[in-house]
Amino acid sequence: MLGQQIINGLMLGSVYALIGVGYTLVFGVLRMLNLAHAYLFMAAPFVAFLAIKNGIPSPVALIAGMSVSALLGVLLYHLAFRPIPRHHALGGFVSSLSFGVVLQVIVVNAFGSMKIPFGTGLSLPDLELGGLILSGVQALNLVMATALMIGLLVVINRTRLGRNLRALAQNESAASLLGVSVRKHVQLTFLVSSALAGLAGMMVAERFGAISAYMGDTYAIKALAVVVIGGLGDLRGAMVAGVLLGIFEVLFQAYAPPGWSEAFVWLLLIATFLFKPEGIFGMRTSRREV
Amino acid sequence: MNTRRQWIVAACASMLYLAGPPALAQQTLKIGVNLERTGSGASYGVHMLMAAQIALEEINSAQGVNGHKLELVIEDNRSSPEQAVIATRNLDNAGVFAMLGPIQSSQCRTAFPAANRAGLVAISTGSGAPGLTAQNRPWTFRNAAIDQFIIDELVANLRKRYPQAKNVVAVVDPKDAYNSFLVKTVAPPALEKNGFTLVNKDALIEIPNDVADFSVFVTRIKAMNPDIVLLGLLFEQGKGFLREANRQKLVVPMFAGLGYLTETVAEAAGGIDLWAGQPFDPNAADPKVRQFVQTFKARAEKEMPSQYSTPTYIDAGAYESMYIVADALRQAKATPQSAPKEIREKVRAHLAGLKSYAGLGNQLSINQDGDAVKPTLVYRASGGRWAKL
Repeated sequence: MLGQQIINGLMLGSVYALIGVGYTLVFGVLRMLNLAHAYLFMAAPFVAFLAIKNGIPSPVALIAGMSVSALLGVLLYHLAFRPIPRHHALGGFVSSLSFGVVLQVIVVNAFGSMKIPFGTGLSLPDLELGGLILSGVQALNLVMATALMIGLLVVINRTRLGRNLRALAQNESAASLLGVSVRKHVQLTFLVSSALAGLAGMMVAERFGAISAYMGDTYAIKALAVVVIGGLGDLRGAMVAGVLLGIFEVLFQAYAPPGWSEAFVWLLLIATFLFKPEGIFGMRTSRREV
Repeated sequence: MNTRRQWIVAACASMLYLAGPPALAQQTLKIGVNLERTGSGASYGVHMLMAAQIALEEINSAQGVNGHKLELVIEDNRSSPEQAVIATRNLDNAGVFAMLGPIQSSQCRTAFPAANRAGLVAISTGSGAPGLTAQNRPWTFRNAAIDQFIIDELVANLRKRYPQAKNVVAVVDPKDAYNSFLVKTVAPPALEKNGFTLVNKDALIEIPNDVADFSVFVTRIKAMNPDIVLLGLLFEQGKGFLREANRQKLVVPMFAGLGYLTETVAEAAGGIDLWAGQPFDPNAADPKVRQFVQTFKARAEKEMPSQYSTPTYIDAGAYESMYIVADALRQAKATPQSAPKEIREKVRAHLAGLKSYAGLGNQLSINQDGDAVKPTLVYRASGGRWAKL
C-alpha cells in the first residue's frame, strides 16, 4: 500500500508542481502574486471541451485550450497588473483575483455550475509495475512538468531572453535603461505562465474525466503553499515542493486521523515561514529572482 | 425648474406605463422554490427545478388553479445551510403560499426550523436523513424517501446475493448531513442485522466533497480487503470514486443511499456491482410516469446535454409536490389576493392529511412525522444501466 500511496502522491504533486511553476514565473518578474492563475487553469479545459463538442479534433482542441489560456494571461496582465501601481500593497493581488472571479462567473453562466464530463479520447493507458498502478496521464504530467522546468531553467540561465528577464526581476528601471523592453518581456512571462496553467488544467480534466467552474479552487490554494515552501520565485523549488507536498499530503490522508492532511499542508507552510522563510531553494525576498 | 420636474414625472410615468400594469404581476399564485442551484448539490437542484417547471406548465395550461396561473419564485441556497435560511426568509417575505425544498438534508436541517418559525409549508423532495421533519412539526414535510426502509431492504437483498460476504468498509463525506446519517446511524443496524461487520465503524474514511483525486482513498480501502464498500458520498463524488475504484481494480460490490439512480453513475460503475435504492421507478408502465419521464428526458437532453436525463426520485417528488400544492390551493380557494397566512395554514392541513394520493406510480400518504410513505425499490447497476430487483 505504501508504494502505491507514494505513487498517488507523486502524481498529485506533479499537478501542484505544474501550477506552482506558473505562479513562480510571474512572481519572479513582478513580485506580485497572480491569483487569476487558478482560473486560467479552469478556463482552458472549458475551451477544449467546447472545441471538441463542435467537432474539432482533440489535439487541436487541447492546443486551442492552451492558446486561449495564454492569451487570457496577456489580457490579464494588461487589465489587472499593468494599470496597477507597483507600490500598492494589494494591487495585483486583488485585481488578478477579480479578473479570475469574473472569468469564473462567465464560465458558470455559459456552462452552469455542475460538473461536466470531459474526455479527449486521447487517454494514455495506465502503467502497471509489480502491482503498482501509475496513471498514464499523470505520469505524462510529471514528465512534462520536469521537462518544462528544465527547459525554463535553461532559457532563464543560458539565453539572452533569460538574461533580460533576470535583469528585469532585479531592477526594472535599470533593465529598461539598458534597452530591455519591459512590457514585451512581462507579456511573454504571462503568456508562458498562463499556457502552463491551461496545460495543467487540461491534464487534470483528462485524468479525472470531469470539469467544473470550481475545479481550480483546491489546486490554487495548495499551489500557493508550494510557491512559498519551494521558495518565492524559484522554479526548482516550486517543482520539488509541489512533488513533496503531493506525497506528504497523500501519506497524511492515508495514515493520519481523518481531516489532518489539510492541516498538514498549512502547518508546513507556517513552519516554512518560521524556520526557512526563503523556502527550499528560494532567495531572500529582498532579492528578486526569476 | 418646474418644466424639468414635469419632464422627470412624465418620464417616470412613461416608464411605469411601459413596464405594464402592476396588477398583472399579482395575478399569479406564488410557490417558492428553495433549491441547490449552485454548489455541491447543483446537479440535483437544476433537475428538480426542471421537474417542478414541467408540472407548473402542465397545471397552467390546464386553466391553472382557481383561474389563476401558478408562478415559481426561485431562491438559490447555493448548497449552503446558512444560505438556505436566508432563502427561506426571502420566500416568506415574498408571500409565497408554500415552499418546495431544500433538497439536501444539510440545508433542510437549517431551513426547516426557519420555515417552522415563519409558518411556511416546506416540502423537501430529496432529504433522507431521519428525524428532520419530526423535529420541525407542523410546517415541514418530505415527499422523498424514508432512508431506513430503503437501506433495510437493500442490505437484506445484498445478504441474499452475497451469502459469504462479511466485511464492509464505509467512506463518508463528513460535511454532508444525509451521508453522515446514512453511514453512522442508518446503515450500521441494517448491516449488523444481516450479519455484516462494518470494520471501520470507529475510523470512517472521510472524503470531503471538494476532492477530485480519489486514488489515496481507493488504495487505502483496497488494503483493507473489504467484501463490500458503503459509499456515503453525494452522487457526483460517487462517480469519481467509482471511476478510480475501477482503475485500481477494486471491483467489489458497493452500495449507496439515495440519489444515485442516474445513468451517469451506472456508467461510472463500470464492472462494479453497485446497489442503490429510491422510491421511484422511471421505467414503470403507469402512463403518468411514462409521460413525465418522456417530457423530462427530452427537456434534459436538450437543455443539459452532458447531465443525467432520467428523472430521479427527487425530480418525481418535485413534480408530484407541485400537483399536491396545486390541489391544496384549489381546495383553499386561493387567489392572488388571499392572505398568505390563511392559505399557508390550509396548505399545511391538506398535506398533513394526505392519504393514498395517486402519485407517479405510487399511492403516497403523509405519516405523523410529515414524511411521505412511498414504495421501497432497490436497483443494481449492470452494463451501464440500472435494473430494478
